[in-house]
Amino acid sequence: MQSIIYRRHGLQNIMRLISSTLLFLSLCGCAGSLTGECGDKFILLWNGEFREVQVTTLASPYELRGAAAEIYYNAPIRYEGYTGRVARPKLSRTGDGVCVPLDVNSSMALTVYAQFERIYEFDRRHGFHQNISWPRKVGIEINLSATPDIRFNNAHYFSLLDVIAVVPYTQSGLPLAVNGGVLAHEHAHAHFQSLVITPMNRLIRGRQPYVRPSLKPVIEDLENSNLDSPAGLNNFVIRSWNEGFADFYASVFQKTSDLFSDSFPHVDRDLSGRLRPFKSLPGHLGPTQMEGVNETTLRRRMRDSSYDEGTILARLLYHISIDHPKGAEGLLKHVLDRLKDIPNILADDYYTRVFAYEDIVPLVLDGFEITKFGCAALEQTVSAEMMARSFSQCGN
Amino acid sequence: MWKLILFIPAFLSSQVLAASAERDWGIGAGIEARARQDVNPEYVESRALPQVFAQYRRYWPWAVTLEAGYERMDSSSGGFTINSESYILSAWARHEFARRLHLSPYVSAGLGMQFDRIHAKFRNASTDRTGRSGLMGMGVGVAHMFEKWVLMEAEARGLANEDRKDISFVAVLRLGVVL
Repeated sequence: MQSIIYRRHGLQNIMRLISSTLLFLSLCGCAGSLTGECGDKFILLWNGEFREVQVTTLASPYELRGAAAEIYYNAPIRYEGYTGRVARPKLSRTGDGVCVPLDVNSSMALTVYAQFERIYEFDRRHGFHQNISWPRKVGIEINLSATPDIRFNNAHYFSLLDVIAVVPYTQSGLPLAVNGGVLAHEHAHAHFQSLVITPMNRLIRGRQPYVRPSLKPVIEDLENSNLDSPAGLNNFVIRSWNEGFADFYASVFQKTSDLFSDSFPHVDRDLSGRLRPFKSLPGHLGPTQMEGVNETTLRRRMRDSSYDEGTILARLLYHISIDHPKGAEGLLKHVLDRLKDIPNILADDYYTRVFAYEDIVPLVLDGFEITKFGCAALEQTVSAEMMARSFSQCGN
Repeated sequence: MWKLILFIPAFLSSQVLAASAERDWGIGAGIEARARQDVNPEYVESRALPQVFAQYRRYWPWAVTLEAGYERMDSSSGGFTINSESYILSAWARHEFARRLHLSPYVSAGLGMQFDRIHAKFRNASTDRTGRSGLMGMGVGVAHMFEKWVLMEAEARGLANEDRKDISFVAVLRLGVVL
């Protein structure tokens, strides 16, 4: 009998404790939210302002893997790519179901995914998506063992791994991970890789080993290429084309000429900036200029030069597209179509002739109608000889 | 409707509790060490959070603890900053296995809410938002009372937040007085 009473009292006590707990929660006015979770809308730093951004291709907002990208945070890179699990942002849900990242790292990881979702839509709309594999693999706050200019305030596309790495940002502007222009620029390198470098490397690999000590394809190996050979110098020229194309792609995607100034106020890569003639690589790097300069310095100068010449290419394409009836997206589509032909045209000369920075211009504009404004831009950038040979329509 | 359904049994039970004679209250403060997944889930982030608590017991071996905790996170990259504050309220029911004058082990289960205030800023742009998420957890601990009025407790918990989709591991140390 005592046992039955004890059990009944025990049950009553449990009920009281549970109901008291429920009372506490109901007084908080919040019990109804215990079944909810984040949807597909987030408050993110987007083009310099805080906006509600919708992300539709994530299966779960708590795990940044979807059709567009896989996002890794502070993850190690091995030869097979990023290792470990994808990023899981810390979120808080507002009353209207929109979710807000609780810290900057979560916000950056989500923003990178959202940007790549836009890039994925852009590529699909124009049919570019078939050049590369999806989802794209992107890491942020990635720690690399390299020189400071590689480890900080930079973003890289690693072609052998087909991954993008955004390294820690230590300046005072817009972090690179939330700079859509920087992400689109790095993404464009994957297109260039797929259309130009990989096929070209395949065409020339019978004459040189594919992999150098740096584990890069021959064409990309700026650190070990022979500066006394046309092939070694051509690697810098091809890099400039790669950078120029990436800037132009990013400006078309972002619909802005100014991609980098929010993050790097002192870098002059605005595509609406002043045009100037392409340099000539053999003259630019003549023996007299190489005297007294050690090889490391020379390589750094040449690498810097390839970025400068890439900016000229991007500015030229940007100016040609400004008043063109097909618009910037029409020109980008044309350029991407033409890039496919470059390996076949140039592979035979790779070991025997030093390419000029301007050599790519007639190749990518072949078949594209140039307006009067575009002709004026060409006249300011390419040589008179190239104007006469390849753009005779501008003379009429 | 939800709230009404919750409120009625709670109200009735509070009437029953009011009729009882033998009860004690405890209040105090504690520190909570919380280990949870970082944005990279391969890594664990650990934080120490302050909390205050009130404890009510009437029918041994059962007791209820109400806890209020606070967490602040300041993060930045370049000119982008996010400052977030979280107030965590939770109610825990426990079952003790021995009277507290001895070393008393117990098991606990609780529900709660986390209320967040987030301030994000980049240059002249800023936003202030509030959010909330539910919590639930289970734990095991040990309590001991000194001199019949000083209460000391140590507890280990697993805590799930509905907006994190992972389990945080929590160690709580509490010091209080019995009224």
